[in-house]
Amino acid sequence: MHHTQPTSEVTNLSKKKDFVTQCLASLLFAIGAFVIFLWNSPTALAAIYPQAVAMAYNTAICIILLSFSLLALIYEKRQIIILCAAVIFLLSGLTYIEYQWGVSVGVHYWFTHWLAYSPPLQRLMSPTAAFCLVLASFSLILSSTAAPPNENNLMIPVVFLNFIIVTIATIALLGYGIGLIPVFGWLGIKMAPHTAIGLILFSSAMVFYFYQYAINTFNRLKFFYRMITGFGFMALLVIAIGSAAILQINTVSAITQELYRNSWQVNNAVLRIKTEINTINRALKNTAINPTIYSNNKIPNDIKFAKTIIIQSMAFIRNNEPSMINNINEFEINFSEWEKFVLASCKLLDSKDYTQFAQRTLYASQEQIYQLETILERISFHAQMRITELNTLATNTKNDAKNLIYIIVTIFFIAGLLVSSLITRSLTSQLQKIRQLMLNLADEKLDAPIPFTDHPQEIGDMARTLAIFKENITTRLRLEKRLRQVIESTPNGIIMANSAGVIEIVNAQTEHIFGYDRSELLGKPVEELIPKSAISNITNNGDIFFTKKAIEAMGTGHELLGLRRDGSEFPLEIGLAPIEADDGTKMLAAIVDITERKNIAAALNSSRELLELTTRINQIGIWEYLLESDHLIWNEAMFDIYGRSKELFTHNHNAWRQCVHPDDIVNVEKTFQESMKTLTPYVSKFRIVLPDGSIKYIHAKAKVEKIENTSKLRILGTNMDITREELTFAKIHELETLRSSIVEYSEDGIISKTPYGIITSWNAGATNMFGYTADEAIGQSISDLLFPEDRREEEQMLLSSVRSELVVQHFETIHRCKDGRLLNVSITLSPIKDAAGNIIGVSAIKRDITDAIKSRELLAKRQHELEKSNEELDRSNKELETFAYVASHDLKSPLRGISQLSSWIDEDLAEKKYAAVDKHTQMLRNRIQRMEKLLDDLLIFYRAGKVEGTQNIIYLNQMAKDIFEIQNTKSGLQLETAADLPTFTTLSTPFEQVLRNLFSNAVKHHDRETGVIRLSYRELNEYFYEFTVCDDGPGISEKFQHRIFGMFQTLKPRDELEGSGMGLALIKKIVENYGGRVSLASAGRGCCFSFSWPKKM
Amino acid sequence: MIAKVYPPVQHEHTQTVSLLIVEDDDIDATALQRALHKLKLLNPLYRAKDGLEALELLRAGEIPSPYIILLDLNMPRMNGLEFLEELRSDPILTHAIVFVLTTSKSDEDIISAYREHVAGYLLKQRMDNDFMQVVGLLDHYWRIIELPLTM
Repeated sequence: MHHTQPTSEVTNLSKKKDFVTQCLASLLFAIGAFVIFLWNSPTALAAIYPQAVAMAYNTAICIILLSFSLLALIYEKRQIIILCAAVIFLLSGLTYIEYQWGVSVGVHYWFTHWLAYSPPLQRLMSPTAAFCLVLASFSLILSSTAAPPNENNLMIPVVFLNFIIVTIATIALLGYGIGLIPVFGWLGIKMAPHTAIGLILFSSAMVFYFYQYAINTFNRLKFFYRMITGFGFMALLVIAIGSAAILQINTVSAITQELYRNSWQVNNAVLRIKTEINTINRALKNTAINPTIYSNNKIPNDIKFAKTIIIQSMAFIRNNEPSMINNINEFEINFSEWEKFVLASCKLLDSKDYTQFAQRTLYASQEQIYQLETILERISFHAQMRITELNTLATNTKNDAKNLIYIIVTIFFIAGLLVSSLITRSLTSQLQKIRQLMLNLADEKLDAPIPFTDHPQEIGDMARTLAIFKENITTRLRLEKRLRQVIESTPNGIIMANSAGVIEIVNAQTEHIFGYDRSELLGKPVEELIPKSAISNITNNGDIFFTKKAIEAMGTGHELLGLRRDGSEFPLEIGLAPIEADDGTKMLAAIVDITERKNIAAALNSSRELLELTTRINQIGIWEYLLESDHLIWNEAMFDIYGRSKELFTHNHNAWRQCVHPDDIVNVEKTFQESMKTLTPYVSKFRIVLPDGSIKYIHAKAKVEKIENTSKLRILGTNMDITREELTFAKIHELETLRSSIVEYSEDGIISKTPYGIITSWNAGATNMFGYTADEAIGQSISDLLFPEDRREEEQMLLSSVRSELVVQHFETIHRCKDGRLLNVSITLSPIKDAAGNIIGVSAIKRDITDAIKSRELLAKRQHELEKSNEELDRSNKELETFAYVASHDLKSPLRGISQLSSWIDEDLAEKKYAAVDKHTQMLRNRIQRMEKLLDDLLIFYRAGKVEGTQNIIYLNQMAKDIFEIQNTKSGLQLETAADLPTFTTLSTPFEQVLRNLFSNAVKHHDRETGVIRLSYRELNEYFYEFTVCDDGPGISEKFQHRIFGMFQTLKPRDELEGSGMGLALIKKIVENYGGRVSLASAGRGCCFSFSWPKKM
Repeated sequence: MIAKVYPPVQHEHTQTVSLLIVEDDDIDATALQRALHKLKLLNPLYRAKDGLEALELLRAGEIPSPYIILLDLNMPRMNGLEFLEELRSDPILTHAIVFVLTTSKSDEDIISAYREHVAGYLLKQRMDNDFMQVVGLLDHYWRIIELPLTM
């Protein structure tokens, strides 16, 4: 448990580290691959080609190899690292050798040679890059042995090397970017910026990968080596930075050297030439003004001398300023011309032609000298320009050197801080941990693990020493603990007090005996444990003898007494021993509370007394029989039981025999003799007859033993009156017999089971009911045996409700019999409890209710039928009522009309008023017809309820047309039928009647000349069609709609429109008879009658 | 609509009681008319063929006050009992005096009719053929009984 957490953290960390390293490696690879790509196809990205190939081909290869070796590092492929490092070392090392010693092995062209076409730019690996790569290859080779899992000391140089690479590459990059050290480039060849970035990436990755390992390794070094490493690193840093400074100084000195070697000397040479020419010129001019001074051959000699100097100077200039070669040549030509001219002039002097000489010297020669001087001025100017240039360069270099010094100081400062803080931190943190550990050990906290024990050096030594300390402490603590346990678990109370009587040590038993808590006792005077009465005798002298006295004082008087916290006193036993300790003499007291012991002694006495009393009260008779002397000794209880008086009893075996019930005596005697013969304990049950004739049951037990040192036998026994128990038992037996016969012969299955459903008893009823015998059923789980699979959970539910003390009554379910039959059963469950009220079982009464259910169902069916016929009756009653009602009016009214009309005709005839007679006779006939029609319709109506006729196929379309033809009395009316009218089989007569009545209704009530009656249908649901007859007649106003289906209901007086008022009532009756519905929809003109009709009868 | 059926000439000067017979059967209406004629009574007789028509007549004020309504029960469109209910709930017509003249002997109808405060319930079949008794009864009735004139 303790180790998983750190391990997973480490795993996470190393995963993260691997991930970062992989990313850097990929980036590195990308840079290298990109450069290689551009080398191979210069035209692809022509715009950036020159910048890109600033990185040499070999450098790019090395960069790619670096990325490979990083990946190899992660996956621990040591050989690959070494291979890569070797190639890098070869390429960069050879380059470096080429630069340093001028040996040419053409390493730069090894690979570019293989390119498809010769690259437009040739680049060489810069010496700085070569140096860095050499370092990188070293670090890789080191890392191949230093990488995990080895983790040896070589990690430190790996990190250092990479630090140096980073520093150099950073300086190179800074040289590009900020211009701090603009000329930084070894041998004048700069490292490409992306090379620098690549190297920084690589070294960062290496540092990142190895840093923690390196720190860990570093932390394990000896202090001395840590210091050495730190200073070594700083020294390397200083050397690196110092090298840069030296380079700068070299540069400055090179500039100065050049300054003095060339330009100044050239200038001087020019000046020398000028002086020579001027000297000759002055001599010539002087001679021209004053020819007297002319001496023979002086001038030609001068010229010869000057020429020598001039030639020397020119040669010097030519050597040092090769760029001046044209000027020098020109000068030499001009000079030799001038020389010839002057020599020719000198010839004129010789011939004393002074005028001519002066003429030539003052004019033509001056012209030539001017030419010469112009050329010399040019050379001189050039030299001066060069001087100025070098001066500027020197100044810049000086400034750079100043900057470099700043950087050196800054970096040195930072690196110094860094290194010293690292070393300090490395040391102090370890020492801090060791110190904390020491403190913990001092506090006896032993849980903390000891770090650094595996370190080889100083810290490790310390840690191992501490481990030994820890072990010692652990041992000491264990011993102390054991000692404390011994003291604590001693059954005696232990008190140690010093000479002043102050308690120093107590144990748990002491706490227990005196009722104090330990903290209350320690530091308290020992007197507190002594009763006041005892302590008054002694005084505290402050020496050991006081303690002794004080403790002994507990024993003042005959009994030693202690004082408990609650003030009660108790008897005790005490053992004393003085102990010589460093800080004085101690008194050790071992205390035993003897209250219990005393109590036991007292209890023994009283129990003896109690025994006699108990035997008496409980009617336990005790007897002793001495066989030899035939002497029988009874205690009081025996006489009580046997109802004999002590005085009248003859105290022998025979007397006892006479008390025993004659039926039992033989058996009892036999058992008695047998146990005497075998000397085994004797147990028997028998009846005795009391003097008043009543009978008692006796339970007798006895032990037969030999009297010591004799062969005489003594029998010691008890007699117990168990009459009441016997009678109770007999009663119980009787009840049990009754119960079991009830259970056994019950028709119901009576089963008992455990609270979890295992059958424990099974009566005959259950056997009859389910077919299983008791032997088959007992021990089975009831749910497996009787419940069908899909009802097993019911049993669990029932049992759990019984377990929660509920009584389940008449729960109805289904059981499976042995022969597979399913039975409907009603179950009544109740818990069986033991005397303590715990549920120890469940009793189940199962009644076969198959028949009951059948008759119940039958009853329900009958009831339903009854209800239905009642409804029928109700309906026909209602019909009858309606009939009676309408008959009283509608059937009588034509009759009365007839009677009235006939009497009017009589009257009118008598009064000879013939005018009305015809009309009345007409009305008379009309009434008779109406009567007939009413009676006919009534008959039809009452017949409508009866199902009759046969089922025919109805072709509704044709049928509707036929009916309409017959019913239509108005020529303007037309029938429209829906196209999809069905063809189906049904009772055709009632259906036809409905349709006929609807058509006739529509036709009869139509109030216009022309009109359309429409028959349509739809499927109402799966059982019914719905047919609709619509007309465009007057419609039926809403307030009459509820009446129109009534019997004899008309909307117009019959005198206006003849009709029985039975049509719609008839439709309603017919349709409802077949389970359908009639409805009316009418709003404004037109009305639609819809009726539903079963699809199948 | 020819509501007024009898007598052929209106005697303006006589302040007599009007009769409104609500009856779908032409014969019964004719019988009443004949009875009035026979007894030489000149009370104006109006006829409506059902309850609805009667209500329209009454609400239009076609029947001169005071009037007595003779009501048949079994009629198309609106039967007598429905008519009575409507009549009694009308604040103006509620005082109207109504005699029921019907063939229905049912107790239900009789009770329903009296619940609507009819002045009498006459059975057609108990009357003689020409309703002479009815007209005689009404003749006495309007002579003796004070009719509400506020109508």
